[in-house]
Amino acid sequence: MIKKILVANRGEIACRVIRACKEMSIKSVSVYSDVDVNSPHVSMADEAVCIGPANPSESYLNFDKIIDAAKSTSSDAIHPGYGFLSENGDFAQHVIDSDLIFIGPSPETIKVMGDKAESKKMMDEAGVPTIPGHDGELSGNIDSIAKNIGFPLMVKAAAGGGGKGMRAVYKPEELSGAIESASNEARNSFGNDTLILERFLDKPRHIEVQILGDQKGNIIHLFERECTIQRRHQKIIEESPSSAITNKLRKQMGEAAIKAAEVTNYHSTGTVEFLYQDGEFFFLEMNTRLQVEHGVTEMVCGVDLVKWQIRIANGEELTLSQKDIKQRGHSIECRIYAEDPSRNFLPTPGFVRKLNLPIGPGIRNDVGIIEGQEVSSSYDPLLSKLVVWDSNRADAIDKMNYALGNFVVLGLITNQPFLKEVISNEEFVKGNFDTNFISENFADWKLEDIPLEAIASALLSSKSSSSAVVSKDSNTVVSSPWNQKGHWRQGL
Amino acid sequence: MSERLTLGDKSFDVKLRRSGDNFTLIIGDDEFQGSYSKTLDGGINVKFGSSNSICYSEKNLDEVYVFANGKNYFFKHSKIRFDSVDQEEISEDRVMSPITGKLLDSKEAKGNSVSKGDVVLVLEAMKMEHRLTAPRDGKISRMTEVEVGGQVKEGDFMFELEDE
Repeated sequence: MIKKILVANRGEIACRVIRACKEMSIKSVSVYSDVDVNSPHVSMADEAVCIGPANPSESYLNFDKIIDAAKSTSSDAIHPGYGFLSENGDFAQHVIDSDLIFIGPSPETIKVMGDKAESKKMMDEAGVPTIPGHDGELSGNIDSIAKNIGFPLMVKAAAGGGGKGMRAVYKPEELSGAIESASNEARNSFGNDTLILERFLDKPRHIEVQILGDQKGNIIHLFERECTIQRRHQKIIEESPSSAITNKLRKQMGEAAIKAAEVTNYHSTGTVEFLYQDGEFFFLEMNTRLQVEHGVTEMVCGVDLVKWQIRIANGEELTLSQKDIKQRGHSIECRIYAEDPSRNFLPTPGFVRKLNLPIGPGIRNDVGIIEGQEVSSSYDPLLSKLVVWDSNRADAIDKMNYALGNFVVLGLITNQPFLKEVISNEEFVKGNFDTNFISENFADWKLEDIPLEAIASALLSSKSSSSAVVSKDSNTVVSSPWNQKGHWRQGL
Repeated sequence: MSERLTLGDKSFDVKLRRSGDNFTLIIGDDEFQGSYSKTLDGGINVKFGSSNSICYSEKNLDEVYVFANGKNYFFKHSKIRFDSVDQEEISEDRVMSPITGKLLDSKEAKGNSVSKGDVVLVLEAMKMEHRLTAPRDGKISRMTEVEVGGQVKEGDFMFELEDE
């Protein structure tokens, strides 16, 4: 019986899991690195353990420190969230060997599906459609391997996910550079630099199917998520349902996803990712964890996926059958990132000086930051996920536009204004897009049409303190309260 | 004395004259009459004509972060004096770090000849790699003193090219 869960993660997903624990009256334990001491996941949990310095390999990726934290707090189970150790089969095994419950699928399943070459072979055998490519060792004459697959092709980390260690190659002469940088990134992110090559569909949509299975072999799917709007191969806007597929295809993709889960003896939440183009879909990979964008599925299906993960890990049987699962209305998620879309989405660390979240019916914020917090360059720049639900896609877009338009985050540059323009883009509204949408339509994006109100409030702010003194020589405001006392310093 | 607000490659020379709750915003030759009041949660209700907008702003040294009309903006803010000298023009041959992060790899050394597009340095921030390439053909005349594995800040000098 799970009575206490250690959440081996940070940011919004740690907060999401802790919230589920609280709803289920399960005690929660956070782990954190030095730089995260003021992060909300630390104060939200019942207990918190510092597990080391900012460098993930010495904290959030360190098996022993996490297991020790679980043992010292008498936790029964570990929830890995997404990223970090969530798809590390060795870690899952380590957790089990330490007499703890791993909230996720079995280590064997994680290992098989984490090996993209192996998982593709398995899907081929199970009759799930896959993309043509080279799934063996990348040795010998790489150029001739690439020529056989054809260009454009994709270099991918065999152990990867989340767009890391991936490079599209359009010309043979770009191949060696792409292989080098992808293997470096793969080694740094996953500790494994094995690469695979495959054909690159040029106008695909990225559509994935959520599955949920228990330890008794019951598996259901919770329909699809449309994850086509991406920058640098990472999703920024997701929705459910997808406006691209027919009900017939929806059914076929759901059945293929269940087949994929069955052949891997899958239990817990998982996602089968497909590329879709011109009425055909191909297995891309399976993510053996909770997905960042799980919220849109929860909104349309009315199912709490994190609570089910915990129940399943606890040995409980699924009480939902396939016919219980219906897609109702439409849900959209926008990922609020600390990044600058006008400078090729460069990460933009900083301090969160002001945070006002939008509220209202059908608006959900999965937040990982609080006012006064530093967003460091050590971790992923995802700050918050803004999710809306409404009865149809057009209304959901209107609601997202409203919600984004009331999302105040000051102190660092975010992609909020960019998301607002993408959501209002005519082709997006029509549902006409593929994964190239952002690079084709927003390549040289800049904030245009700065309103008078923005300029007025910038100046009103710079003069807002009557005690501000302008120094004679440097013209800098020396006694503005903002210079002297940020929220994050109070109490030090 | 007027003030300069810069957003990306746009700059505005602006002045704000206040009289009680009313103000005149002067941008170049244009003047706009407005008024404002503070909200309980630290916002500013800015009014031009009959339209209201709840705005928020936070200032930190020369940076001003503003939320207005549904979007978050980031301005660089400076005061302008008539006797101020223009900032030293940044040479195109000089490459600065576009991000704060870690120096992951150094592909070239001082004195090496490079062609336009060659990767010179590799940076990493938030688990993503960023490659700094040579902006033109030339020889590397200066290199950052940060060692591989060390931290760099946005705007730090990275390397400089000269003619061969």
